[in-house]
Amino acid sequence: MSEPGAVRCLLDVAARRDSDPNVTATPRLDLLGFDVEMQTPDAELTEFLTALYAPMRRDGTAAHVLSLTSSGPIDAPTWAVHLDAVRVIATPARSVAFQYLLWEANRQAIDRTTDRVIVHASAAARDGMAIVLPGPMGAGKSTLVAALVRAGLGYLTDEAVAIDPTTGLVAPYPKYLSLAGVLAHLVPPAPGRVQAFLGGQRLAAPDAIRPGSVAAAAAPRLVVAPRYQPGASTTLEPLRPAAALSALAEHAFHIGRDDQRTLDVLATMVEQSACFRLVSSDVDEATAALIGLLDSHTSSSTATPVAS
Amino acid sequence: MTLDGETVIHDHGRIHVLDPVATLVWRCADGEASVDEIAADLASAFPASRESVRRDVGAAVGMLTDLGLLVDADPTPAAPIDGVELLIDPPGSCVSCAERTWAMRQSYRAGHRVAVVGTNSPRADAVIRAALASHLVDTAAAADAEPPFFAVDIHDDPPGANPQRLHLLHRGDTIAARSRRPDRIVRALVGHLASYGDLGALGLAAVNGLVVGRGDQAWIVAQPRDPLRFRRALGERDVLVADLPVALVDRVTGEVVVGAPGLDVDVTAIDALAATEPARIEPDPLPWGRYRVIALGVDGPPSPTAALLALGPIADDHRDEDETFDALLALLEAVPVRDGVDPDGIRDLLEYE
Repeated sequence: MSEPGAVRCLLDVAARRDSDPNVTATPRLDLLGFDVEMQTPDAELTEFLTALYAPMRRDGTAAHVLSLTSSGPIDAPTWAVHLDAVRVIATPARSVAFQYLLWEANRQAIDRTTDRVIVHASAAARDGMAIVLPGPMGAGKSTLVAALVRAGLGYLTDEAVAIDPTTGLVAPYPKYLSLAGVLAHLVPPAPGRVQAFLGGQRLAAPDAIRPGSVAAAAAPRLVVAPRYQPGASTTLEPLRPAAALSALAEHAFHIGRDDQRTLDVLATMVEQSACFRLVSSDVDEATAALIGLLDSHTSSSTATPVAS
Repeated sequence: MTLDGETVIHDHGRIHVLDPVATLVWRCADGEASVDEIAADLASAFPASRESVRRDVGAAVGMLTDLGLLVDADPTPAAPIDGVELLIDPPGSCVSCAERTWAMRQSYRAGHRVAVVGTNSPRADAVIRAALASHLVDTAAAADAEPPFFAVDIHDDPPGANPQRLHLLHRGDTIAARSRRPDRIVRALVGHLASYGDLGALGLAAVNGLVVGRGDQAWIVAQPRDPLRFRRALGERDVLVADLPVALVDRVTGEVVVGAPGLDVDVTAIDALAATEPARIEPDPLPWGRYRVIALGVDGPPSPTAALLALGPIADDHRDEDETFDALLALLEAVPVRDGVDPDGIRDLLEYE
């Protein structure tokens, strides 16, 4: 019963026996190859999810179901998240359950990816060149990538930079952006009933930041490790190649699975990129610095004849 | 991986950057050469004094040893737990456990698995040690470094001081059992521990429900929202509730086993804990034994899907999901799904079956 989709079949069989008219589903989604649809008991919430994941929509029937369900009395229901028929969490708090729904989708997307090297980083692209921003939570990855997208760059991801070991290209994983702080105003207000599920989170589809912003796969040419430091003036310092590789490897998701392949792929990326550390407290200054870097790198790249 | 003379190494989940000197030493350290031999080799290749190279090599070896990348030729390894899986929750899933300090921690073995049990109660610690004496294991440092897989929160107030006080069994970030009787918590612990043993070898599968029964018949019901009220309501109707938060289903007979199958438990030690309580403030648990399952109970409109979602496996739970699904499907074929919240409904079916 463990082959892909088998549990989904099991659930389908059970569901056909007691179909619930209130359950609504998103279209099939392709999350870095994780083939899933999301089901909720609230049509407005499902519509919201559909919009959040719009760039990853696919035709056809998904192999897996991530479901949010409620059971028990209407005034005090229990909310549960299941992946197929495996329970992820059961909780009285709907916002906690919703957070788990999104988290599980992302976790499965990253966990199941074996053919690409994945780094916890955000990324944006221009003219086929990607700028990769690795860093821990709170480093400013999401804010910076949102600002770069606002400034006209293409959106690749705010969460997981997926590198194809063969081509070296960063594949888009254009999930919604979770924004706080200075750019929270960019997030359009969620519909009334959805607010209760969000619990204060500000989630924006890439199109809400700039319509048509999702980029195609791009070649990484700049690696910038950002750090948000309150009160700091904006500085960009070159990063030694080994330090850049270390910054990327520290944020590689599955380095334990095959550390040699991961380090090889990331070292190639470092060798083909200019690497910097960015410290800033001002998103506008930081964005201008990054765009300046991209401009200079683009002009130096185009000025250098390619050896044949 | 070496870039511009510096080396980046991944070792047990940690990334290290070695400077050029450490990189050279790392490359020369073949497990055979001594520090002096490495220094002699390098001194012949660099225009520096032998003493200064010996000093740099010694410092690099010290640094590599501190990082755990080089080990002493005569190491004292930590005692491993051979062939045994240590039960560990994924990071972040045991926030409440991890945030608390459990002063007493012991490891117990069930089948091929070992679980760390934490408590702050010397009384509970002594009772658990006595009840599970033959399963107590000496663990490596790794086991002691993890948050406990189970945490027993039993209060050591003088008898009668606060009979309303709740005792708890934590499993990860959920409360697996709560009771005003500490013996019920220890019973829940040993049963829960047994459910992580080699169930397949015993012909059992774990279903995530609570067993309630009377005579030789039982329901498996989804975990109730308010277990104490649920237990009291059923107790008033002469229906007893098992302490074990998991139902162990016999794959051949379809019966449910209440107890700690596969474990050698000194039950008298647990009963002694009950005897210290001033009064029986809660109904007795469903006695250990085998029961015929006559229904599955869910909270809300009963349906096979609801039963599958409510009683099915839990992600990252270390149990075999397929075994649970197979057992549940067999039960769904054999018995009806009912509203498992209604105590009258449970009593009526147990009476008339």
